[in-house]
Amino acid sequence: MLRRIFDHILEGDASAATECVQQALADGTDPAVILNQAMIAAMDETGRRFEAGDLYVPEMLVAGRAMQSALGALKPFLVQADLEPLGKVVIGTVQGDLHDIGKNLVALMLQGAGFEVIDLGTDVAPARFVQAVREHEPMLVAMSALLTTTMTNMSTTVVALQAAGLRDRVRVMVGGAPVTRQYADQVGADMYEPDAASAARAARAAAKREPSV
Amino acid sequence: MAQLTSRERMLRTINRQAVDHFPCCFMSFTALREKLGDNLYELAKAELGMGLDSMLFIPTTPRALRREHPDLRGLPVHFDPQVKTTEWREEVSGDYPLLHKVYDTPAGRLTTSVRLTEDWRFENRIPFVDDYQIPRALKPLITEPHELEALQFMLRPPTEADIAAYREEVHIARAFVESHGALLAGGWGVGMDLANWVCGMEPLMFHMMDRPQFVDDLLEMIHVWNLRRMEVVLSAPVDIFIRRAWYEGCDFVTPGFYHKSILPRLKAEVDLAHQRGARFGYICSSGLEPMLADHLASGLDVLIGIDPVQGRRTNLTQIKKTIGSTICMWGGVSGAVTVERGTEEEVRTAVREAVQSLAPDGFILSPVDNLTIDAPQTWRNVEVFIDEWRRTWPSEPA
Repeated sequence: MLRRIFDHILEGDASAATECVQQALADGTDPAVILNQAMIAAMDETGRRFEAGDLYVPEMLVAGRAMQSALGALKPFLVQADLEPLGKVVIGTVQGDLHDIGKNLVALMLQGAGFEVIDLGTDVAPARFVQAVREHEPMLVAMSALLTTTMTNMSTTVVALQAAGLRDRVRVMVGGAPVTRQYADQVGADMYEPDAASAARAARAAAKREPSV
Repeated sequence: MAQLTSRERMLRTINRQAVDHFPCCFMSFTALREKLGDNLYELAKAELGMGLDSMLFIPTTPRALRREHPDLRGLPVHFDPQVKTTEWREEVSGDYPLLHKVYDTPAGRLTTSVRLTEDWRFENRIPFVDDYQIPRALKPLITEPHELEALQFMLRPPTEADIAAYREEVHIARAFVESHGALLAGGWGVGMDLANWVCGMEPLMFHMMDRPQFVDDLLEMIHVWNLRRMEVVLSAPVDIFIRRAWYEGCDFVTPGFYHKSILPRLKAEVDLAHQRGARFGYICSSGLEPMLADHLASGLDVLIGIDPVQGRRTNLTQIKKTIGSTICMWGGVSGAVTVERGTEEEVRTAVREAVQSLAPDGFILSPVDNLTIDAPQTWRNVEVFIDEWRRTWPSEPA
């Protein structure tokens, strides 16, 4: 059954993945096992195949949708079992920028990696990022921009976090088509990743180095 | 070799013949175009005056007059006279206002709504199709297969008046290119880009996976409409017909879908251009590598807009190696990141890297995909760009 959940997520079959999760729970399978060995494993494989060039964005989107659907069935049992997420991530596209596909993919992959994701959406002002950090105490703030004219708001947000005395309490990850590692360094970000799969991997590596908030 | 005109240089490069030096022709130069009142004749003259190669794109209809299709250059887009439209604005407390538009067609109603952000460019109206709608749309125009019947009423062939106006412009354009030595380009063709405009990007990807026949039917409708428009544009002897395909890379479609649903139609359009004596240019700036075999199979002549920075899977060396002996490459340097925002040294390095990977045969240098920012840094970097390109010229004519 775990293999079937894995396969259905990878194939993007949301209803089948959800049914199999429900069946696995009914069979008495530990929710943590379902999450880690089937669902997160499936998203890891999705990310691996994407980075290898064997899977493409539309396929990632449907896999992510299947993951979310299956997670919806599993969540009440995770709460009951008191299972903690790997960490919290606040994510958003920066102020003035309404593009969201990249951000949505990263959010899906982070969720698939076991994080609790607080998605602020698009056109997120620095003050909203600051407020979200105060409220949710994430380990990571992830910012996306698709335009060179809006990516300057990554710097503005980092400055706002500093001014609020929160900069040392979060790691900052940036990404998006015009963003480079060099630009990430310039704006004071801790991490830059070129795509959703590597972003999730980097976030997981960072989470394992630090205790969850 | 005798000094070539810019047109000769561009054509010989596209046809893979010897040239005096490889051309540099900006695929798009909005910052300069807007200074010149959006006049494409003045733009070509100015670019040639700067020592660049240039093309005159026809029809030259300025963006401001393309009310229903600002991002689709070319012939006017017409609705069936029976289509009635209604638009209104809704104020929303605590959020951006909304714009709503209804198209009532004989085959039913289509609706769309967008968030009226501060940078919305169209006052209180929604064009039929435009890039700006994609991230701002609350509800895209097309969400269900049955709506394609209504969409048909908005994709009408060119009218007799359009054809007459175009033929009149052709005389002026041909005289211009002959006297100024610029390439004559016609277009734009379109495929998945229009599908994205009407369906929204993320919804279209889900449709592609969940309901591929729906997307295939939409692409067929666009293709038939496209061919009719191409017939008109190609009735004039343009040197190259250009199709915009920014959303046809693997960032937006799977290679399997491309092969099945885009390639056959693209090939038919390339064949039509060739039958009419024109080369075929294809604008796609990202997600190229998995599609290269299909690009070769389509017969297209020029791949326009290869972006080594913002593009994914656009390794210049790999692309050159795979298709460079058959397809001409146009691009090579990021416009927005490198030319508009980079240092002088970054611009020079980027030009050198593009030249190293893509020159000399079958290569047209250009920033990708546009220079839009009218700022001192842009103009300084354009001078640097041109200077670095000139340093690649042979010291003696070939």
